[in-house]
Amino acid sequence: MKQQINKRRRFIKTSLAIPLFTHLNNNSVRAHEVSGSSFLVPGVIYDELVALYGNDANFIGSTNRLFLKVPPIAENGAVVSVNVSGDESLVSSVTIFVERNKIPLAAHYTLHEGSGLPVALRVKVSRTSDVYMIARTANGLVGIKEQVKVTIGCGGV
Amino acid sequence: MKRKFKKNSIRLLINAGANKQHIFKALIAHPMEDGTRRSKASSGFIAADYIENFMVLLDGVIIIEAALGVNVSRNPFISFTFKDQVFDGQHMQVIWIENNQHYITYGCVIELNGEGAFRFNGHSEEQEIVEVINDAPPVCKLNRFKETH
Repeated sequence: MKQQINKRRRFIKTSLAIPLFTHLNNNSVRAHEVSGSSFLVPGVIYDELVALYGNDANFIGSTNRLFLKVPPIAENGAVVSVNVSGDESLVSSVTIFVERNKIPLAAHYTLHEGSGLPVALRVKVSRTSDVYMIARTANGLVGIKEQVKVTIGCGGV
Repeated sequence: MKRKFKKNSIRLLINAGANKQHIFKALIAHPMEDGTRRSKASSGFIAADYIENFMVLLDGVIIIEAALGVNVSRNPFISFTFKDQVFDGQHMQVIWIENNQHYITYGCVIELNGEGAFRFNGHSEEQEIVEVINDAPPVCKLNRFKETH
């Protein structure tokens, strides 16, 4: 009798654990690994980048001369301010992605002669996700990412 | 009291920031509906209504183009920095195109006040929408948001 109860308990424990484990696994970011790229982007963003920049999307470098300023914790995900600044010369375009939105592409700025950084915008962030900034500079594409935690109520997912 | 801020009206401010560079700040009144929200009144969806392309011209030359989409917040705030300082008498045009191909243009002549700032409110009576052209050609090549909605 005791063994039967133990068996049942074990069964319930494992059956609860399996869906929880798979749920956590699905949330992990699947980075798109490209040779020659020192900055990794997820597959959904890579597809958009190929449409925007063509072959250059395979070589994205990291930079410490550009800055992406987003709030680390956003109480209201409908209004999240994004600020791109820096002293990198010859920035010709700036693209902003919110990874876990339905459509990741948020905005694509083309900076002609006469305009420059910093640029600012307010975007919607549906849930906690990374915000990516890809800029085209004189030395090719560079990228930065920052996380925004969207807290509805308390905690945050 | 509810402030009147009509759709497609604009509030614009140009002032000097750090390094004495002029910063352009615009606040546009727009719902930016993505077409996926359900309306409470009827059973259907609220129609998509958002800005696709935004651009600024200074003396007839495009200085910035922005392809926006459904991920931009309601009443979008758009800001950038001028490379060269602006001066009095320059003609500035602010243009945006909605997803229903409405084409909205505001024109103004820059006049810096004593503090070196310029303000423009596009909803006041004297400065109405200059022209609204239907079926305007898309200026920016990035119109791929339409395909998903």
